[in-house]
Amino acid sequence: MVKRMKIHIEKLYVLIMAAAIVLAGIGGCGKKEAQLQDREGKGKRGGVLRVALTGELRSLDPARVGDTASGLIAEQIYNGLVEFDNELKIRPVLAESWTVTEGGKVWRFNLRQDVKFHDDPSFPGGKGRKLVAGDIKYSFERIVNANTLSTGWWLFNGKIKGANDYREENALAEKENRESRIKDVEGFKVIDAYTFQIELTRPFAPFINLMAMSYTWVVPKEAVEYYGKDFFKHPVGTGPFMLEEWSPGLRVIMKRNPEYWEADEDGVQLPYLDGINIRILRDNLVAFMEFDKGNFDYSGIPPEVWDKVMTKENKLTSKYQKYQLVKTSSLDTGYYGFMMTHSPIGTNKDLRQAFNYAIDRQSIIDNVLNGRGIPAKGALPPEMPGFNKELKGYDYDPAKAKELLAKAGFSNGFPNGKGLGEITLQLNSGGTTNEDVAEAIQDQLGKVGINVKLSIISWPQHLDSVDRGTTQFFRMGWVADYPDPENFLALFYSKNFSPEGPNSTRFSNEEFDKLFEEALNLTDFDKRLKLYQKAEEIVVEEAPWLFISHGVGYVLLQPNLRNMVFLPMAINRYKVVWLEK
Amino acid sequence: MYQYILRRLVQAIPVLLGVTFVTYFLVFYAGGDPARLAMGVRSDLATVESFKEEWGLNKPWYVQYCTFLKRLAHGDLGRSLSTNEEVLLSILERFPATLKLGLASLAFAIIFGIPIGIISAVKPRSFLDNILMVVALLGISTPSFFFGIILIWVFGYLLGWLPVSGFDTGLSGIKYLILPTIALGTGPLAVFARLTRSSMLEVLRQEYILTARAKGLGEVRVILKHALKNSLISVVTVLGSSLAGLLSGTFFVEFIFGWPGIGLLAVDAISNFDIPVILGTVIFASVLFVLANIAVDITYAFLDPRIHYG
Repeated sequence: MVKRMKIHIEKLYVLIMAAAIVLAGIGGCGKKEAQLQDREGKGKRGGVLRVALTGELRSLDPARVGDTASGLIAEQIYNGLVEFDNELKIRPVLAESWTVTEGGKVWRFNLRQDVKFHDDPSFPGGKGRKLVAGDIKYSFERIVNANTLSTGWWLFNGKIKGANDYREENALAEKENRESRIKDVEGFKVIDAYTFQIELTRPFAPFINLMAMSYTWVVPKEAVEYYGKDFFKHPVGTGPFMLEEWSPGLRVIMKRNPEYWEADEDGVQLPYLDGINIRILRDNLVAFMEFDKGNFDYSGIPPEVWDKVMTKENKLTSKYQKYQLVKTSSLDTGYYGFMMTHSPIGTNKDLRQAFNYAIDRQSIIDNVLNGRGIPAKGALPPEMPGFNKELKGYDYDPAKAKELLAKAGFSNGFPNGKGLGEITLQLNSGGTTNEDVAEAIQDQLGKVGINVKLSIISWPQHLDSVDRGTTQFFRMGWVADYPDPENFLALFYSKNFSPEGPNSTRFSNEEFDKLFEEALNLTDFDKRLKLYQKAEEIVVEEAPWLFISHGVGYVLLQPNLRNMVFLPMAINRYKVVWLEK
Repeated sequence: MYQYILRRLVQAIPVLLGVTFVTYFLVFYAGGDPARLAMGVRSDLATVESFKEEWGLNKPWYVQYCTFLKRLAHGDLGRSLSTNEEVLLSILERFPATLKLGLASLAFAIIFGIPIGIISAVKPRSFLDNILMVVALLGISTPSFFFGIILIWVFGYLLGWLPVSGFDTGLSGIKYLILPTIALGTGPLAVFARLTRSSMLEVLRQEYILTARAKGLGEVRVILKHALKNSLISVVTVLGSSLAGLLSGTFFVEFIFGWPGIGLLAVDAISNFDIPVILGTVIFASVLFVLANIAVDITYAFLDPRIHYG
């Protein structure tokens, strides 16, 4: 649920590994809970989940939660209107139900009436109050208000009636040190205490997905005003856990919210756990060793120990068979982008296709990634709704690649052809995996006569050069913000050029644009998917990317950890996790 | 003496200014857009621009530098671009952990390094000397992060004698302190051992040592009283530069052990391109370094009566 848009594969890997590690069944269970404990195969109360987090969190203010580490913690503290279930379908959370009218422009949410904020000194008497529709409006307007410096404004930008006017006027008022003339975002309406309505500027089919994203988690005005600039470290929400301690660089401790409103299918109150202890650790290998000592409840498998833990068939070796092994996927696509504004590659389709035929994705996955990947045939990862199984993509075919190079007039071997010269592939430092993959691809491209030089620079500089369009061949990746093909295909829409939008290659195709826009206006999901599949076919044919792979990960769990589901998009639903005694 | 200290402190000001200038220049020369990193890659240009305006990032770098200096003069290091936390607060929050690790490592290096040097010097070219000096050479050559991982692997993971990682305050924190201390302190330990050995060997050849022995003083007294004190001056000289090594070593050791110190803060700041925090940590480290060097110079006066600070 963490919204991170462009992520490098390395970070992604870290993210999966990092997501967390250990758990220890410390808690005991009192007699009053005896009944709970007897439920065969069902949630048991008690215990503390122990997790290793291999990154520093930035902020626990949802308006600024954009990184994986912060998202993991904030997800336990807050609730949004909806969330993704294990099949990545939308399920109600704070919103009990909703209706969509006016052709998809007006969304009316009926809220639960039994939700309370955590107890906190910012409330009168320190007691959390009930959540009402005004809280949703307040939280959403914070994202719109430029003075909040929210990293989530892109969710609402241009989509909500009156939001852009509100944002501009409020920023101006702040600058001129006067009262804002626009007090409300027109499209956010409190109908009554438990009904909230959103009006869009025009239909946006995947809109409900945005309501599951971390930025839209709901905060109480009292706490935001009470803590001011320090609200980011004093989070107050309605979620299953409450923050007890955050020691930067060291640990985060959360305890169970005893008044949490949600219950499992048998009516047993969630969460099952008494608390969560998160250790901030930077080194994946150290985190793994802690896990193997029994100090964390789950862990990724770092490359240094891969061969000790995993067999060639990606099963556990006998020494590690006591653990549970979970295979995860991350709804991402790793690619190398061609800057479409650059000649000759960007302007020559044959050349781009030649690159795509020249690389052996499966061999890279097998030999460099230890099998942790799926070859990418197109832009959409396999678990994305609308994934096209029939998509042909590019098989490994060096002969075809050479043929296309020749056709494009760039064959070294052809009497009349001229060589392509040296192409620079730019990638960001910070991960040997990235570099290993790049070297393998460099090697394979070299075999068909494409000479590639690697330029490895830091992420800030890499991003800057992609933003400016000064690199012609660059490593990038995309992790889904929400499970809708729109989120990936937006990377090819001509109105989304970077740095303003996510279209880093500056791909522009009229037919694609038409399909993409048409799909946004459709409310029929299946019809939309058909359009997206057609649009993706154009992308594959035009090949603005060197399609590489979709991430797969493996996580080890302690034997007693139950119901731990690793959803793509770094969603960690600790509220339903329990520990077998 | 007070005059001397005052003079040194005043002299430190241009040094620190130089450090801030070079750091500022390097950060800007490196390129990259801190506002875009802080606001997320999905942010529109207007948002990024308003962030720049808010933080003064849209001005030329030398203007920003002057603003920075003005603030610095008031003790204001600004706020982190990525967390919005006060930089000084973050540094002070993390400093105790780094100080603890640094002091422990220094103590470890001195307590073991100097005796090792003495033993080697007393029996030069002996088997023991050779072994100790090979170990010292390894200690100097092994990067602390690599050594750290090895220590964790052996003593934390395989043998299980000590925790793999962690941190705690008070007495219960000692078990967590041991491995990072060894990882960080072994480099300076080796330096101290080798230096003590060579300067001790030199001193032992002096005539006053011969005199002391001729007077019939016991060997232990000759070594510890007459030779050691005079050998220590060269060791104290490198103490200052060892501190620099310790400071930079904490970057890696804190990373490996998950130690919540300033090194980790700086590593995060660099990867987030969080300029105020980068500058804050660099300045803080420089101040520490300058102060430590002054302290070292003052120590000379106690060890060598020939040195006077007027």
